[in-house]
Amino acid sequence: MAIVTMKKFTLVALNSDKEAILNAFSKSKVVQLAESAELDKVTSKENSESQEKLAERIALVEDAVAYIKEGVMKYNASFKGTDGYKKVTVPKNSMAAPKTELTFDAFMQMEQGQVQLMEQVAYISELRNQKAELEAKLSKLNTEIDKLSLYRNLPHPTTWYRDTQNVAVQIGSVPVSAWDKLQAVANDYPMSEVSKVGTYGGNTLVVIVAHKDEKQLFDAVLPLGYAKSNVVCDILPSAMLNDLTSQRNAAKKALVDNAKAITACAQYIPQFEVLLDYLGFELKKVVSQGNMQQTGSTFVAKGFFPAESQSVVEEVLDKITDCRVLYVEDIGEDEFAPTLIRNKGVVKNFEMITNSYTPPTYHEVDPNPTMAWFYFVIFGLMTADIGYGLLLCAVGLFAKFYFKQNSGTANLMKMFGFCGISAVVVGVLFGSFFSYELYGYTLLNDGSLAPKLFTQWFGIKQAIIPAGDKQPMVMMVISLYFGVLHMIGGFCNNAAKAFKRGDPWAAFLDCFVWVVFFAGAGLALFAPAINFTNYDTWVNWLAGLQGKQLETVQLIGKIGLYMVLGAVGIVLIFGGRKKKGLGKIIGGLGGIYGIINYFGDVMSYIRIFGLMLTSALMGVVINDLAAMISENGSAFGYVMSAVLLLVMHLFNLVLGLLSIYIHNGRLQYVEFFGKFYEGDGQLFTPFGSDTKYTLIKD
Amino acid sequence: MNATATTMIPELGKFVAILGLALTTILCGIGSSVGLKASASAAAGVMSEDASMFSKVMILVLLPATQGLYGFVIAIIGAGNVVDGMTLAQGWEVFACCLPMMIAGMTSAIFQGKTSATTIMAAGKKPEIAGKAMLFPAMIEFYALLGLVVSIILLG
Repeated sequence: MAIVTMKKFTLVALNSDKEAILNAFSKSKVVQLAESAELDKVTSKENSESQEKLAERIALVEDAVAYIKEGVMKYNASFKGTDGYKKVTVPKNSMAAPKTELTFDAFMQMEQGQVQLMEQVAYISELRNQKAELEAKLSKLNTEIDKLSLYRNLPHPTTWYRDTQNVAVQIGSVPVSAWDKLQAVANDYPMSEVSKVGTYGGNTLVVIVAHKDEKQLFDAVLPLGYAKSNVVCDILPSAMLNDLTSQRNAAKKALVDNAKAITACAQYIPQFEVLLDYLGFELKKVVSQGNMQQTGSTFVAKGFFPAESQSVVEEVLDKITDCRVLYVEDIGEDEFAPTLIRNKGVVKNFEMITNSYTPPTYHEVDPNPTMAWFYFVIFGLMTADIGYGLLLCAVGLFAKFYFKQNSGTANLMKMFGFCGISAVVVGVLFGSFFSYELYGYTLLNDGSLAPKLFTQWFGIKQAIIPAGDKQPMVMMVISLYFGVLHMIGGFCNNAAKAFKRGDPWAAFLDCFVWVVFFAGAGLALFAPAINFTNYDTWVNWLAGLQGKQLETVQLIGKIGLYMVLGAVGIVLIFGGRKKKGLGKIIGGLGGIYGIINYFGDVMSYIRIFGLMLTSALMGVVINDLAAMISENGSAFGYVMSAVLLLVMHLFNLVLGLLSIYIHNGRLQYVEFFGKFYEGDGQLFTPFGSDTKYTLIKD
Repeated sequence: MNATATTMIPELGKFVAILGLALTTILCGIGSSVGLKASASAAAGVMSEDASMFSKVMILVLLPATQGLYGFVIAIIGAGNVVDGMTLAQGWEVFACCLPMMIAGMTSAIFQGKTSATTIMAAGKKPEIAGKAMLFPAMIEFYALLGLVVSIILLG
């Protein structure tokens, strides 16, 4: 069994040792503390305050990291191509080892290191404020400069233009197009004078001087769009503008410096990430302390560890104190315990398929060992190509040697790589290499037939299983038969579960009976299925049987039929055995009705055939296209067809993988797991092991 | 009357057959495009909140993309059945063979896209259910697969 036996423990120890014990548990990575849902919550006010404090600190650091990353991105986008620009990158670990590896002691040194880093966080927040201030200042300066630019050529400060005793003086602006009209209007007033000072932004700055008797001029020019100036500048506007411009340049430069200062902080990101993990760990400690029951000087911790690690836990505690009580119990029949799945070799890589659906509960049979092999074969049937299989194997091998740390991507690649073997095997049966047929004969120009590679090697005239596009029924029958096998696997698992529960009757009457039913149906339909395939080789073989062989086939059919009838009988009689009165009969009939559902389940396996067919036919189309392009024999044609083959086959493989991942998964989740699996377990997560950026190794 | 029509357009049978194949590609393509629009928009929304969801939602986004390919495959296989001098009845026969894929492909792609979009949003809120929730849109895909298989068998 691949689900590791667990023990639950209750630890009573001194408060003064609490910190050391929690750290040691984290270092040992074999203990999971019980969460609040499983305990009565006794969080104190003090505890919630420290939780809040830590959460606040985490938010600050996360904010700083996000701000630096954004700053680097903006810097690279807006300064690219300017003098002295050098691309800034955020330091990142390689894909092979995405987490920073640290020993536990080095990790715990963050306790001291955090002071300096929090100063850095404060500095970043200062930079952020400075940036906001500078931007506000810049925007204000821009507005002022824009407003004053019209006055650049004014020879005196604006305050210099004042009315005298007999003359009214005004400065103002009109649209550039209205200047001529303004002059024309002014001509009607002989004791007035208008003069143009300069233009900016579509407006002309004018000075209008009029005798006090001709003040109507100011009203007369209003319809032209004239607006009296409201700018007050008691020094020469050009001098003022120069001053503002130099202030603006200074602000711009300060902003550039600010941007550079932020990008310079990018080097601290790896340290910030370790800090985040450290603070997260501290928070976890505080939360679990909040979950613990306490007296003035002792505390009670509850949790789980694998039975095999009991000595480790005791050793860890002994090193800290002998003033403690560790009470260890077995997990009761209906009690909760986290699930630790342990499988050897390749099956390990398939665990993610189950886990992404739902992990098994502690008391369940681990579905992975059986599921993995069915997944493997179905994957092969769906891909069914030597070329694609080899490519996947290469991907798997690459993942095996490239990835240094465990990750979802690495596992998935390894799993696909392993499944590649299955694809190669099925590919050999079909004789398909990147959708080129390897069985059969090629018609040569002189009219003779040349055997293809596999026909030459193995001496067989045609594929062991004919390709889906030529003899579709064969592959369909194979898919359905495999479905029956898969479902039998599911029922067997259910029987094993009933045995484990100590209910052998249920194992026989509810589970094993369906194994008999499906095996019987498979045998009974053997001969009809061969005829249904319409495949000459098989049909002729069956039709040509005589004597003993024919008798055997007929016997197989008969045995199958009896098995089916027997199974149906058992279901009818015992299906309602746990019910009372009329329920006994209805229960049996209900069991028979279940056959319809199972029939639907079997039909669902047609998808194996469908996916195989699409991928193979796409391959054929790609090959035909490539052949068409290179038909004229030019070098360009060959190059183009090679590129097409490479790109399109990769595309076909990737798209095929996507469909296979979904549909193979579905067959496991619904048709297979549906027969026995409950799930909704909680995976065993050792205390302090769920760090995001660091990998603690000792 | 009928005989006149066929003599007037001697290649009518071939035309009907080609029409069937072309419509299969076109309608399945339309279905996939509509479906992808729904799923991709939902994914973009989810990713704007959390960019690390990309790998989880990618599969869901691409689910309705397959029907377009199925339609394409049927057109290519069916092209082998189109010959010069087909009778009108033969043409309609090819057309009828395409119907399962044409209709099941287009409708399932559209509905699958909608379901994918909802699933993507659900996965965005609760990433841990992404694996289970994937089953729902995948259920719809089955009927496209059935259409594909039936069309292939009929054409073969």
